[in-house]
Amino acid sequence: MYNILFNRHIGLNPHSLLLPEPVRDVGDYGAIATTGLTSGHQGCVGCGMVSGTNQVLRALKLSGKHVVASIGTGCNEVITTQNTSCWGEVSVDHNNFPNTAATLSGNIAALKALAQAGGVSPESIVNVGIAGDGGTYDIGLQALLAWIARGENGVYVCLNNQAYMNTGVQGSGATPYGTDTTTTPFGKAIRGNQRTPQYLLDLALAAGAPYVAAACPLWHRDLMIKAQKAAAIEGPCVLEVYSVCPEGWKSDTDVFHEITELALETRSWILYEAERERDTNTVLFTLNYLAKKYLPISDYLRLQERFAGMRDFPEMVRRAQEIIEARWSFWRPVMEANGIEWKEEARAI
Amino acid sequence: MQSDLVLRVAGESGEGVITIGETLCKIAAREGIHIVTFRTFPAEIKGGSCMIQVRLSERRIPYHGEGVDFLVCLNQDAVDENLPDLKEHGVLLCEAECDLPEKNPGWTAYKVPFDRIATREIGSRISKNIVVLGALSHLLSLPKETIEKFISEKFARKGKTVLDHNLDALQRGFDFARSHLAKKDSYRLPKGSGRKRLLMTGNEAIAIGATAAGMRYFFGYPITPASEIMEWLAAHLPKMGGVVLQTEDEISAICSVAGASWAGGKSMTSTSGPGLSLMSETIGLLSMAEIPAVIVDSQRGGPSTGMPTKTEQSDLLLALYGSHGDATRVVMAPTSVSDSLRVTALAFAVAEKYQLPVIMLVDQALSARLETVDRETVERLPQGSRSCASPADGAPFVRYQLGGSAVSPAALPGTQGGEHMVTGMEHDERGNFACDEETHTAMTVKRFRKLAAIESDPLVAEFCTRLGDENSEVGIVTWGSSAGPVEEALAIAKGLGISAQAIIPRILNPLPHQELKTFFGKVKRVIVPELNFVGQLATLLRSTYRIPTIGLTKVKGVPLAPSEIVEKIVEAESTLNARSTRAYGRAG
Repeated sequence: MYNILFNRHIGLNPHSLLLPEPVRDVGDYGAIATTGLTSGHQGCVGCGMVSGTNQVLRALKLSGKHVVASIGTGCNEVITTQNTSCWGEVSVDHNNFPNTAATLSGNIAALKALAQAGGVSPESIVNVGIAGDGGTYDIGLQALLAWIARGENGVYVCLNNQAYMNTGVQGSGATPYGTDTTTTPFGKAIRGNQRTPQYLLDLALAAGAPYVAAACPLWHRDLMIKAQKAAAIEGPCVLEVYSVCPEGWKSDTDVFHEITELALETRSWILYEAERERDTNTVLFTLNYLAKKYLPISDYLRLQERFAGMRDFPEMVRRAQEIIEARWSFWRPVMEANGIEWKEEARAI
Repeated sequence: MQSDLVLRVAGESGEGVITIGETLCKIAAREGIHIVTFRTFPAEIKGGSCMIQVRLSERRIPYHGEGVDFLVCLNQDAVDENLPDLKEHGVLLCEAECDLPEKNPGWTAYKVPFDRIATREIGSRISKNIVVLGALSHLLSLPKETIEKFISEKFARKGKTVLDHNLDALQRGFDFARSHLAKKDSYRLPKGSGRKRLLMTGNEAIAIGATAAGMRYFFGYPITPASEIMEWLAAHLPKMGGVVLQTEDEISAICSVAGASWAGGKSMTSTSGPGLSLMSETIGLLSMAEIPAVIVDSQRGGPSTGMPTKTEQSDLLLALYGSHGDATRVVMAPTSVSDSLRVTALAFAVAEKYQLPVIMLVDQALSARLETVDRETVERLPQGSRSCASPADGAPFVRYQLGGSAVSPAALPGTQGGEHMVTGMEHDERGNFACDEETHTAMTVKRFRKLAAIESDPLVAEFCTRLGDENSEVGIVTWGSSAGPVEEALAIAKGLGISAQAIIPRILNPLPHQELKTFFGKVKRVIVPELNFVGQLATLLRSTYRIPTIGLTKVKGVPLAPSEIVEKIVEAESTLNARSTRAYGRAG
């Protein structure tokens, strides 16, 4: 358990309780000097994961440190390992499916020992673990929570495309309610995924992470501020990145922007961060984006054929809206502090 | 007219290559033609080259064919990659824009502007594959009405516009071929028996075989190339009152199987090598606690993440020995799609009857290949059930009875008077932890006596087959999907005047000792073809029977070719009269 504090400020937040100086707001994307994933990766057209990895790497390199990545099996691994030069000057260790965070632990532990022996300077390296939602929510969860519990210094990035895409779109612990996947098919007996997804960042906070943040590549300034904070804050920090997937979401390849906007406007994906001050056992929550239109979930279901089945069942759409509202009610104190009208329910469904 | 046709369609993933191949298969199955296919998958999530090879025949065939009679290429890369496999007098049907080598050994080439017809005339680039089907239907005299019916079924849900585009594409492809291509070759669709055959992949056969055996509880985790088993079951098992639960990892999947099976339900999981590695500890628990379970491993290129979309038979030693301690388990390996149906049912029969884990090994090529199956196969599947106790009132229930049969009747949890504990600890007859000298010895013997009983059970009698000339001194032992190329190789060798024989056990633990000893007593050379580097079956045979073997191993991610086996047969035959030709079979 922890005490909860809310940041009244809504929006980009380069400041942190846990850092003496704010991190950089990179501004215009074209003006960023660092490189991320370079050409040669084999991501699908319209893949959000490529942008996510790209932005994380570019942000981490802003510190001038060498990035050492531990990557788990998954889409990100498949698309970046046939031509490894796409990682540029990043050192990469691809390990098994269950243990991205465990490998990260090994990297960090060896680095400490090597530093004591005078081999390398830990100050010159930033350790990052990158895995998908399957490798994080399901098979890799034990390793991740144990890594957080050990309090090691590093960044863990979950690229969340909400199902197992590289093996053929099977449902995962992060798959939204009602989604049609190959293992949660939308049929007469069972209508798509019947589970409510877990919330990774809640779990990470409970395990003791000093900093957790949800981001999306559409808002690169926010994502890159969060990646820098995760690297700068001492301890195991977790970043979750919304990753559009045309292949698995059965959407057009050119609606990356529209889908992300709808996710934010329907509050299906909330951009926020939380940092934990250990001495007072207080967690400060900051909302980084406020939906302007409060669109109903039915709008989000439109562009993605993975939701085609549930659109015809009003009770399912209502349930999906309830899941969102239950989650959103957490932010009521921030709305009230800012004098923003609290909407009990989104526009009529 | 030829009785056998090997047709290959090649292009880029996403061009509809597989749809062309599958449609041909469906037509052929309906006509009663026998089919075996082979397909490759790109490593990329989207794009990358892929192909499907379909062998169609009037008679039963064990293999997808080595050279290609009729090659269909959708782009230049496909031509460059696949032309070397075209037989000397084969046929090439390709995109009009493709450049062909000047030197033509004798094949016939037909060019059709598939791209132009699809893009310009129909206005839908993705209908290109249907244009190809139209052209093919003219060249091979396929029943066009049947194709139209399939297209209507396939696209009915996508609306009238999409359906009309595709029917138009079929007609235009057909018309172009009829008016521009003068038929210069003699290839046609082979003649079918007229008796419709079932068409399914290896993975579908496993899922169907399991449900036919009464399996209603499935637990799994996504992994290539086994995921389709779970996907098929997720779509069909709930309708039969069954449960499909996707767990968070393979450890959880196998432990859920343990829970469901203990509760009395026929339960199963399917995975590939990395998953079987994770399940190893629980295989020991299932053995120790005497809980039935069926574990399917569709093998892929390893070790580690390896080559997920490529085939290999390199998990045999893991299946035989994985898990610590003296853990009993049965290991089975079907050889074909129809065999997968039967062996899956056998796996449940044996697991339930003997209360132990059964690991069934297939591989990527077998999992993904489409094959025609005779309807009778589904109707005659092996059956077996668990022996259940009727606990006597008052007396404590004895779950692990010593003496008498190695299998003691189980009481399902919740049975009045049958309360008991199953445990991974060594235990006495009632399940109490016991680590004294006598108990561990007696219980270990009890568990291993089951394997001896299985070996002589009539249930497994027909699951070891002999092929070829029983008097030949050149012998082959193989397993799993390598049986197909071996059967084909025996026929080719016979044509060359060289006799050889083969034995193919479906059960690899316990091995069919009597059959193998008889076999080794007759042959002077033993070739062991298999798809792994170290020769895993050969290692097992050498250590069990103390015989020398001639290894034929391959780790290229594709099945063995019959010609590679024929070469070994010829080589072994030529050394028959050389020095030290002692008969095998004295040891073991």
